[in-house]
Amino acid sequence: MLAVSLLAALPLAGTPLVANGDDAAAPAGPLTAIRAEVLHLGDGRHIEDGVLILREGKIEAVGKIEVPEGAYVIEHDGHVAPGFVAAHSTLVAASERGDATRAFLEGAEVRFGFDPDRRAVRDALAAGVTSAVLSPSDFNVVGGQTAVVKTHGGEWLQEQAHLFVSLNSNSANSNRYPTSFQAAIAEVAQRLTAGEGVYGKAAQGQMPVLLAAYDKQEAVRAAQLAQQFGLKANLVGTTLAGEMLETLEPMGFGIVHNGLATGATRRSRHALAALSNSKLPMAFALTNADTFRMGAVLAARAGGDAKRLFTALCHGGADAAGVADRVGRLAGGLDADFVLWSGHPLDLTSRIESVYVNGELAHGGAQ
Amino acid sequence: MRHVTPRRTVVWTALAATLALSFGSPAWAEPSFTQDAEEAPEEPSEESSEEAPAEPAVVLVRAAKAVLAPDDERENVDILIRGDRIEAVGKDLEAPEGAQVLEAPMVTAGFIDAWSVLGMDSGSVNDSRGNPALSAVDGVDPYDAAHLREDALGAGVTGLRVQAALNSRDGSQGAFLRNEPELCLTCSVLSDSAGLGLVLPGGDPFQRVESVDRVFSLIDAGASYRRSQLKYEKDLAEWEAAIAEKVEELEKDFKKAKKARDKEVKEAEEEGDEHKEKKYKEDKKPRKPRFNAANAVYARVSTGALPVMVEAHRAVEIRNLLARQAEYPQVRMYLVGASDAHLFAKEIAEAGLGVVITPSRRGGAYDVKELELAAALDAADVEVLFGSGGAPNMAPDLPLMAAAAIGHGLDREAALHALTLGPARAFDLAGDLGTVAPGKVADLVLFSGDPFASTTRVQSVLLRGEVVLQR
Repeated sequence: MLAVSLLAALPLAGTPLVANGDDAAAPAGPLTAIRAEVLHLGDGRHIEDGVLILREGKIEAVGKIEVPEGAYVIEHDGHVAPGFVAAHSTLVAASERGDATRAFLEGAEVRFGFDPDRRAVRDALAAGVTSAVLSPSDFNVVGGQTAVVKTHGGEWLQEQAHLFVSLNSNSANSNRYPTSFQAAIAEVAQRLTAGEGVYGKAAQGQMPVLLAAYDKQEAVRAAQLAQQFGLKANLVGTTLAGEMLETLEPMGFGIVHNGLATGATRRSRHALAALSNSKLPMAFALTNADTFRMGAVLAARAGGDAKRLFTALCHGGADAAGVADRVGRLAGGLDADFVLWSGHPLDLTSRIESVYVNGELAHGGAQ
Repeated sequence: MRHVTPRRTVVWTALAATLALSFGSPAWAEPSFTQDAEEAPEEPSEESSEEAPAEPAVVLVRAAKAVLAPDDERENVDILIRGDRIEAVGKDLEAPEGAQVLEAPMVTAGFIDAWSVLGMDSGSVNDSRGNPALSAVDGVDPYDAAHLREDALGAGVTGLRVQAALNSRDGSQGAFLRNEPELCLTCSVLSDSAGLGLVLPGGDPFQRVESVDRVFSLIDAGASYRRSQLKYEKDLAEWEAAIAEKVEELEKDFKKAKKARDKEVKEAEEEGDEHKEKKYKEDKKPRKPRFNAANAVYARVSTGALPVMVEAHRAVEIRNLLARQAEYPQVRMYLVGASDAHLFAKEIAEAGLGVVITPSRRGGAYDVKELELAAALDAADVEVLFGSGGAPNMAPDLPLMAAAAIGHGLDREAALHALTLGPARAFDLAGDLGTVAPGKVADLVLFSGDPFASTTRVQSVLLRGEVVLQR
């Protein structure tokens, strides 16, 4: 086993220090091992009585493996899951996310408006969201370029991640041109055809696109535009995508769902459940830290595929964000961004005990 | 009642009349409603003789796990139901012949929404003119939001304590409904007086403090109304006893008294005077206090017979409420909402008040604040209940919020109590609901797993021993 040969090459550094997951503190040596009742890998699989080994902020190995000698061991009486990844968020303050004077701001990079000390960012971290896509507002047709950031430490995973295109009633309904869907689409299509700068990158598939489309018709228009230009796209905000699977599944674009709150209508829960039972890639948007995972919970109860819903919160988000090689799963080589839960992460009775980013305790844990 | 004593009647007529009056109202004094019934055609006798009384259906539920009471969770329990009641609870019960056998990984008593508007007509809910004499039962709309009631039933919510007049100062009495798919106003209403509920109006702090004082002055008015009622009954009894005594006395000396009176009348006639009848103090029958519906309700509140539920949120009014409540130890009171109650957790526990946790924004979802409040209050030994608040759409998620509250520190046992036995006791229905025990009504929920786990689904719901929902 690869894990075993790696471990054999490590220098021994004395007896392992063992700590209870509740009093977790910064690791003393180069290696930390976390043993938990259940390890959720983030791609739908889980390991019981597994061990997660970290070295210098990265995951070294994960599985039913031996704890290496010299490692600082954390025994966790509960579950461990990857940190959640939000594929769309409103973490940048509203005043900084959009410019009402112009409909096309392809050069605007949302990362310049990010304030890592905002309360919303700390709340997201406390809710287990360790990475998030920062999106511009949806009232511009092209709001700008998104960025992907970690909620602790402010590390940028991607500084120019997606082109954010908004083709909905918020962007085509104002006092400035374009005021109609036809005009908005025509303008976007024209720019993609001309292929300059960011539009060129998008048209060549080098820069992924997030398409904010809310109603069914808006979603169809946006998907058709993406298909026409061969864009690498995800639809954002199409909460009823689960009711249009016949149309959307063949097109294959992923859906970034806004999530649900308690009290959500039966229709919206069933739509999300249906989406989870389909083959479309899925991810979730962060609008409210407290209820980020609530959509997954409600849809699971309404007959959705619990594994797919949970994956959407981690790997699905990372995939849509374009950072699946860094975060979203517990796998060797990826960043050590994970959460210690008291129980299954989709159980409302479970609480977050601590959040680690880059192998460092970022929230919770020892007082 | 008609008064039959003109001045010149002979004593014995007066006596006879007094006799009749004191021993109860004669048949002619009250209108008779029995006439209509007598005129109704009699039911043909063939109908009644054909149908023999049906044998009550028997259901046996075999549960891998069951929550018999919030503090009593057991494995491998069998629940035998006959008709609408639980007959037996035990291990390895034998299934009687013809019994329907149901198996379930987990069984609990039905969940109860302690502050709800599900099933209520929205006009009644939002009425700005309340009155303690109103009962929410008059605002129940069996057709309103039936799909939400179905969702709630599908989540295990079998009992709803509904409230009207949320925008008024005086509120209404609550109604306790069994969440049956076909809501029937005669059979689904378990109580038309499930606690008096009212919402303290907003406004500046002085107004809010004053609104608390107003509630207690209403309780005072109720208490004094009750005292006057009791006094009246006591006086009436005394008066009747005195009359009876006098009647007895007079009967004995009837002839003597008659002679004496005749003499007096004659003397008066001779002198040309009017003979004045001796007026006995006893003739003055005690007057019944004027009926006041609101005071009658508050009378029951003042003795603790009827609990009062007060929606209050901020520290100012909660503090005043706690201070005033100390003077009324017999009043049963619940705080509803109580957003700032965590600041007074200890005092609320000492006062023995319960708290119903609801979303702070009417119609909105629960917030982390409410979940943490539930946990903080339970940690201080305050009884916690859950309510969906002023909008019907939150009722189906009541069990989820209990689960989320556990995730924020609420004890599992307290969460189960909040959903079952707590509200059953609050509305004086614990004899029938709230636990799984022999004698109780069979309102049960069969789950596919732990009721608070996200992957758990409701398999079936029994109401009064009958399967009303099967998934």
